[in-house]
Amino acid sequence: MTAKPSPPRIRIAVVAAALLLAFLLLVVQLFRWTLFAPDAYQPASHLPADLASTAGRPRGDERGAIVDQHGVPLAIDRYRWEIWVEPHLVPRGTEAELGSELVQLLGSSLIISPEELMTALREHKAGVVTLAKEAPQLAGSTVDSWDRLDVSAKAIPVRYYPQGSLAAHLLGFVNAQPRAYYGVEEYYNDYLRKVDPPFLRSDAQAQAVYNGLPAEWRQMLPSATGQDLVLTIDRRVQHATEQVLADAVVRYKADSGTIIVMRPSDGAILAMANFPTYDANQFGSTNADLLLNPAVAEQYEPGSVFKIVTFASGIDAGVVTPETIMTDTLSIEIGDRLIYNSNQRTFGEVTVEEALVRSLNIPTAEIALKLEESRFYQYVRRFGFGQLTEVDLANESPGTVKVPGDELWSRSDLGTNSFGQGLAVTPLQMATATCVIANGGLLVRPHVVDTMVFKGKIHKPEELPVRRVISAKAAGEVRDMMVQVVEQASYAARVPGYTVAGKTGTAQIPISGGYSLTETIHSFVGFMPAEDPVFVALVKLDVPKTQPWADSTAAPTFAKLANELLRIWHIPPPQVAQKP
Amino acid sequence: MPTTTNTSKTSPKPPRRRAGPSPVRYDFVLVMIVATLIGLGLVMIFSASYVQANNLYGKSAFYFLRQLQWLVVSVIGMIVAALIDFRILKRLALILMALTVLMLVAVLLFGDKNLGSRRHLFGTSVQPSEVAKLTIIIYIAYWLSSKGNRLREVSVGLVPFSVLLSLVALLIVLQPDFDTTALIVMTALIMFFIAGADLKQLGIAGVVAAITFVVVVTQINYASVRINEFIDFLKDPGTGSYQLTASLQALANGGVLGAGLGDGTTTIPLAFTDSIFAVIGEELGLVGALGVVALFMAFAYRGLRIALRSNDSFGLILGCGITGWIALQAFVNIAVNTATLPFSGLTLPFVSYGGSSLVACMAGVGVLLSISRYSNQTAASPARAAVQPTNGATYATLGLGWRNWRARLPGAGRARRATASRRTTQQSGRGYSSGGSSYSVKASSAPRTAALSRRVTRTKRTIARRTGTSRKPAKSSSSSGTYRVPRRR
Repeated sequence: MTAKPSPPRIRIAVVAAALLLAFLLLVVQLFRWTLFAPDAYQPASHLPADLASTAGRPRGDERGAIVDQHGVPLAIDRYRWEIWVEPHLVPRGTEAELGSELVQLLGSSLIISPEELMTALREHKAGVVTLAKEAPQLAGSTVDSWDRLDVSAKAIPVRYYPQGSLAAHLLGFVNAQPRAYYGVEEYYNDYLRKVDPPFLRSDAQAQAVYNGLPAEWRQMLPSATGQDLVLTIDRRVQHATEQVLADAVVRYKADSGTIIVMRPSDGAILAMANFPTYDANQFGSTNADLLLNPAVAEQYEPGSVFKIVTFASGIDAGVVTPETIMTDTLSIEIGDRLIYNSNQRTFGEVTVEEALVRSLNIPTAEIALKLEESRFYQYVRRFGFGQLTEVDLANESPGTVKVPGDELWSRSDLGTNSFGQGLAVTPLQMATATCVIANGGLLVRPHVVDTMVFKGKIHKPEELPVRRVISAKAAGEVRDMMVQVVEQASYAARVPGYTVAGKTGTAQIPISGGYSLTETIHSFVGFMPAEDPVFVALVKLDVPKTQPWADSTAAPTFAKLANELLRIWHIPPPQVAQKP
Repeated sequence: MPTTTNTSKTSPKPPRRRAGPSPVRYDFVLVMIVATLIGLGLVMIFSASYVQANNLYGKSAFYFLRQLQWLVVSVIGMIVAALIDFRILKRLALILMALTVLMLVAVLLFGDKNLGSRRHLFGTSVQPSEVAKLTIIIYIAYWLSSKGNRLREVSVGLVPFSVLLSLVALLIVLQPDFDTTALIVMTALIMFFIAGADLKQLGIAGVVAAITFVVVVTQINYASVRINEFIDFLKDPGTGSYQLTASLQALANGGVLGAGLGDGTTTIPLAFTDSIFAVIGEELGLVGALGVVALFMAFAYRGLRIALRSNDSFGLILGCGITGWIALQAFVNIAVNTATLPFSGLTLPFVSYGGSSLVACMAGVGVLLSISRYSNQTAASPARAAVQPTNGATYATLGLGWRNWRARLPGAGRARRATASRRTTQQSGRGYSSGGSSYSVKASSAPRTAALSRRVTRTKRTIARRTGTSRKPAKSSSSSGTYRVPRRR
C-alpha cells in the first residue's frame, strides 16, 4: 500500500489553483493584446494622430473642400441664402418701403407673392415668414449687411460637385441634414466637418502658411473651414477612364462595368470609374442601387484573372518554375468534384508558361494542389483577398474567401479557387493584387487621398505599410509570363510600341444552385510598360452580350484606355525614349 | 464507524453550519452564470453572423434562430438532467458508454465527411464527439469511484485506467478530432487526480500522455501545421497565421471599451463559432472579454464547490470532471484567441454557435445541478462525504483489470487490506472509502432509507406550511433528515 491519499478538499484546491493560474494567464494575455499589441495588429488609422481627435467639436454644417491632384475642385461648399422676415418687429410706417425693397431685391427667388408679403407686413403678423430659400448672393449679403432685427438672412452651406457625375462613386455625397454618405465624404467625414474655433482664411498669419501650398492648389485651398483633401485622382485621367468605360459598356452591350487605374509603386488610385453612374448633385432623384461604389463594395468571382495569384504563389514557393512541364489531362478530381478546362479540351504536356497563356484550369489546380491548403490560402491572404484593403473609401467589402476550417469549405474549393471560382473578390482587391506583380512583389495599400491640407498646412498621410508577398524574382517571372499572355493570346490588349502584361478572365456568375450558363463577367488586369509599370488597370464588364470571351471585350478596352492614358501622361515608347 | 461528531472534529476546517438549507437546493448562482454566458452568446452570434447569414440565406437572423432552437433543446436537456438524481447515472454509465462507443464507431464508418474529417452524423446536425465528452466523463467518474482506495494499486488503478482512456482517445483521434481527444484526456487525468490517484502513477500517466501527444501531433498533418505556425508566431509576434492575425487585430481594435455591438470591422474567419471570443473582444472591448473570463472562473468555482459538497464520491469526481471539462474547454478557446496556445477547433462553451456543443454543455450543467440538489449540503464536513462507500459497488462493474466481467468477491488478502485501510480512514476521519466487501450489503439499503427520509421531510414541510408555522423550524427539521445515509446517524 502506498502513502495515504491526500483528502479531496486539498486535491480540489490544487485543481482550483491550477485553473485560477490558467485563467489569470489569459487575463494577462488579454491586457497584452488589447493594450500593448504590436503594430501589425493595431487598427489602421487613416488620420494623422493630431487630426484624428474630434472629441468636443460641435458639428458644423460647413465642410472642407476636396480637390484632385491638380487642385481642380471635386466637392466644395456652395452657399444658399435663406431670408425671412418677422412682420411684428417691423417699425410702423415703414412697411410699404420695406416691402417694395425686398420684392426688388429678391426678384424671382421670392417664394411668396408680393401681395402676400405686403399683407403680412401690414398686418404685423406674429412669427416668421420665409421669403426665400435660395436667394442670390447679392440679396443675401445685402440683407445680412442691414443687420436689422426684423429681416434676417442666413447662409446655409450646400455641398456642390462642380464636375457633375465625375468620380461620383468615389466621392460620395452629403445630404441636407447634412450627413455624408459613401466614398471619401463618408470616410473622411470627421475630418471634413467644420471645427471650432473656426479657421480664418483672411488671417495674415494663416495666409503666410498657406502661401506655401503649390500654386495650382491655392486656387481652391484652403477652404473656409481649412480642412481639405487633395486626392490622387487626376480629373483628366478619371474623365478619360469614364469615357472608355461608357463606350465599352455600350459597345459590348454589357449591364455595367468598372475600371480601376492604380499606380503600382504606392497604391495611389489614379482613376476609379463605374458605369452606370450618377450625378452627386442630384443624389435625391437617383436610384438607390446606383449609390454604392461597386469598385470597392461589390464582390464577384474573378475567374481566370485570379490564375496570376496561383501561378505567382506556386513560383514563389518554388513548387514550379515557368519551364516546369505540367500534364494537362481532360479532367482532374479534387475533393469530390471533377474539374475541366474551360472548353473541355486537353493539351497534353505543357510548360507552366503555356498553361497560363492558354489559361488552362487543370495545371492551375495542380499548382494549388502542390501548394496544399495551408500554403495556398496563406498566399491568397497575403495577396489581400478575404480582407479589407483598407482603402480610404467607405463601404468597403472584404470579399469572401472560405478557408479550411470554415463550415462551408470543402477540398474541391482548393481546385476551383485556384482559377478564381468559388471565391469572391472586389475589383479593388484584384487590382491591388495585380500591383504586387507589377511592383516586384509588394502589397501596397490602395488610397485616394494624396495630401490632407489642414488650415493651409500640408499633412502627407503617414507612410502606408507595405508587405512583401512574393520575391522580386517570382514577380518578374510572372510578369514575363503575363507579357506572353498578351503577345500570344490576348492580342487585343496590345499597344503598339509598348510591352503590355496582362491576363483575361471570363468568369461564370454563380446563381442559386450552380452557375449561369449564359451570363459571364469579363475582366482584364494588366500593366504597362511591362519593364517599368506606370499604371495597373483592371477592366471589368458585367454580362457583355456581343462576345463570349473577355479576349474580345475587356482586353481591347484595356488597350483603348492605355492609349488615352499614354496620351495624357506623354509617355514615350521605350524604344523612342532610348534614342539619343 | 465514525460518527458525525467524530468526523467534524477531525475534519481540518469545519465549514460554518448554515441556518438550514434553502428550500430548493439547486445551485442558482451556477444557473445565473450559465444564463449570462448563453445570453451574451446569442447576442454575439447575431452580431457576428448576420452579414454572412444574409449573404448565404437571405435572412440575417438565420444562425441566431437556429441557435435559439438548439437552446430550447438544451434547456430541456438541462432540466431533465437536473431533475434526475445523478446517482442513477451510476446504473446508466455502462449503457451510456456502450452507446457512445457505438456512436463513435458509427461516425468512423458512416459519418459525413465535412472539412476533411468525419465528425458528423445525420447530415451535419449531430456531432457525437461533443456528446461523448459528457458520457465519457460520467463513465470515468463511475469507474474511478467504484475503485475506492484500490485505485492506488497499479493493477487496479493505473493500468486499466490507461487502457480505458487510450481506447476512447483512439476512437476520437481517428475521426480525426485531435483537440477533443486532448481535452478528454486532460479532463480524465484531472478526475484521476481528484479520485485520489497516487501522485507517482499520475506523474507517469502524465508523461506518457505528453509523449503520445507529441508523437500524434507530428503524425497529424494539420496539427503539425498549426504547431509550426504557432512556433513561427512565438519567434516573431508580428506574423501570426490567418486566424490568429484576425483575432489579435480584433482585440486591438476593440480596445478597452470595444467598438460597440455590431460595429466590429475586422474580418474574422469562423467569427461566430471558434472565434466568438475575438468578436466579444472587438465589440465589447477588454471589459467584455475580462467579463467572460470572470464568468468562466466563477463557473469553475461554483462547479468545484458543488463537487466538494457532494457526499458521494461519484458525485465528487463527476462534478470535478464536468467542471474541469467546461473550464478547460473555455480556457483552450480563449487561449487560442489570445495567442496563448496554437489553433484548436474547440468552441467556447455556452457562447459559441453550435448545437451539439451547447446541448452537451447544458446537459453537463444539469448533472452539476443534480449533484448540488441531491447532495447533503448541510453535512458537517464536506470532506467526510467522500468517506462514504459508493453505491456503485452494488452494480456490476465493467472493469478493465484482471477481474474483468467477474463479480467482485472479497479475497482474504483484500479483506485484510480493506480492514486496515478502513482503520486508517477512521483514524484520520477523512480519506477515501476502502474497497472491500463490507459495504455492499449496507449500501444496498441506502436508497430505500434515503427515499423514506425524503418522504418524512416532505411531510414535515407540508405540515409546517399548512399549520402556518414559520419556515425556519421546517427548514431545520429537514436539515437533519434529507438523504442522510443511515449509518451516519
